[in-house]
Amino acid sequence: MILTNEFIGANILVVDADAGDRKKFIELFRSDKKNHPNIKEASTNLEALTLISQSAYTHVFVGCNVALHTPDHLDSMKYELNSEAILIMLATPLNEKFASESLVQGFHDYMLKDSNLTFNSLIKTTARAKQVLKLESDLKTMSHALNSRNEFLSIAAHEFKTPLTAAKLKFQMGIKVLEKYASVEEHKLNGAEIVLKLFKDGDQQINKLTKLVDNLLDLSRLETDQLNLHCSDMDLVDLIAEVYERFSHQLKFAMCEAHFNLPSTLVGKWDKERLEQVVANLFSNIIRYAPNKPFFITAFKRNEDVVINVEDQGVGVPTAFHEKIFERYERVDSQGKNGLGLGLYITRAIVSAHGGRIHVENAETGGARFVITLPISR
Amino acid sequence: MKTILIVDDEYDIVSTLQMIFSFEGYTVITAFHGAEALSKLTGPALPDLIVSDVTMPVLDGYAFVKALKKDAKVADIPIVLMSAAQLDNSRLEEGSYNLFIRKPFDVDRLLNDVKKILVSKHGNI
Repeated sequence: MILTNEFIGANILVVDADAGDRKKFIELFRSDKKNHPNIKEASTNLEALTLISQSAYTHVFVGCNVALHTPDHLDSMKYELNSEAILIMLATPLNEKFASESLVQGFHDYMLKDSNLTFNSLIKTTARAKQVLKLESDLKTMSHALNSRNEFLSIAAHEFKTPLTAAKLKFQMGIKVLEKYASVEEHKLNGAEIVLKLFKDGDQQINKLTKLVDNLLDLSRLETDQLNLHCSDMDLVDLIAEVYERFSHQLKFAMCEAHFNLPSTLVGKWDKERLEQVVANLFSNIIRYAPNKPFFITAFKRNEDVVINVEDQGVGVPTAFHEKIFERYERVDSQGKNGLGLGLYITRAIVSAHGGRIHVENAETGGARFVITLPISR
Repeated sequence: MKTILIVDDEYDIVSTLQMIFSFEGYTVITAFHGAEALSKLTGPALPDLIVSDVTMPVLDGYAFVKALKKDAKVADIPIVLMSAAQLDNSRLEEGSYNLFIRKPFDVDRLLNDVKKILVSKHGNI
């Protein structure tokens, strides 16, 4: 069986208290006459720690005589090591039980210092350890994904409860008003006006809940690639005006003054409902992240595309987050900011489904500029 | 008539609770986070009870309660905490609040509990 030499170009550290064992073990690497990896040796964990702080090792072999005596130093060593480094214990047959337990302590595999220890067995063990390392890394990725999902569920539950609480309070207040005024003729009109307002407000809270549910449905559709577009001829300028009209009350409340620079029409073949979502998400972001400041919307035709710029003068998006904010559940600063963290993820998915692109850049004023490019016809 | 301070970062919750407590005859003052609420507790007229959310920007409910308890002038004001999430009691000193309610809650229960707390502190209200 031909085995690939795992150690070509490798940076190896051998840590063992027994100088003879170290020498014998290092000799194994010389079996390959052509390729000699870079090998350093240490007799204690402390010595090993110093070497690890000076160089990035790809493979570290630790004798159980060292691992047994200074387990605390071993933890520090694991902490200092590059996350892609392979850690293998070298045990005597007498210490095999300890060696097998060492797998729980973060070693990727172990080898026995006996007559079966050859260059080939060394390569085989290292390959197996590499698989363990890969599994560990996959597990970390999955665990991170699971944590993100759990965090998202907790945020989602909180977000659902806010409009639920407000709606419940408004309807309960309506009942109170009806109970108090309905029986008294001269108060009936006054009571009816209050109840009408309460029920209208309650209806708005239910709309907010519906929007949250829609976002969750979009998320599950996106994860199964089911975002189907229904494109037809439409005017983007009309659409921006319609969405602006819908948001005008909230924008006024947040003191965000709109400045438009739009042509009279921008006709293309797009999914109107989905593009409404895109523009609405951008307006929501302005209210959330750039209150009390003006904002600017420009749109124009460029070759076969339409370009839309939405620029605010708010807190901006740090450059390190320019890509990250388009990922699921991501928000630059979640403290005190409401929302599921799905808006820009869904926005990008809709723009991409149209064959377009969206990115964010730093505006000269310190705020954020979202730039959308949409092909006119698909 | 007694005065209630309502603290919540959600405008809809604050405005509706304000309406409800006013309707019941209370005087209401409002704030959108703990720091704003503290700034409203510096004058001579203090509220008789505080209804506060827990998760808020700037200064959350935990830090707000802690700040209240440190200031002898306001330390005795009864506090009702409300949140959509479970309350983390490890972040609050024992006895530092009078009542905790989970959102969404029943408004009659809140009004009854507020009344009970005020009666036990002041007698008839």
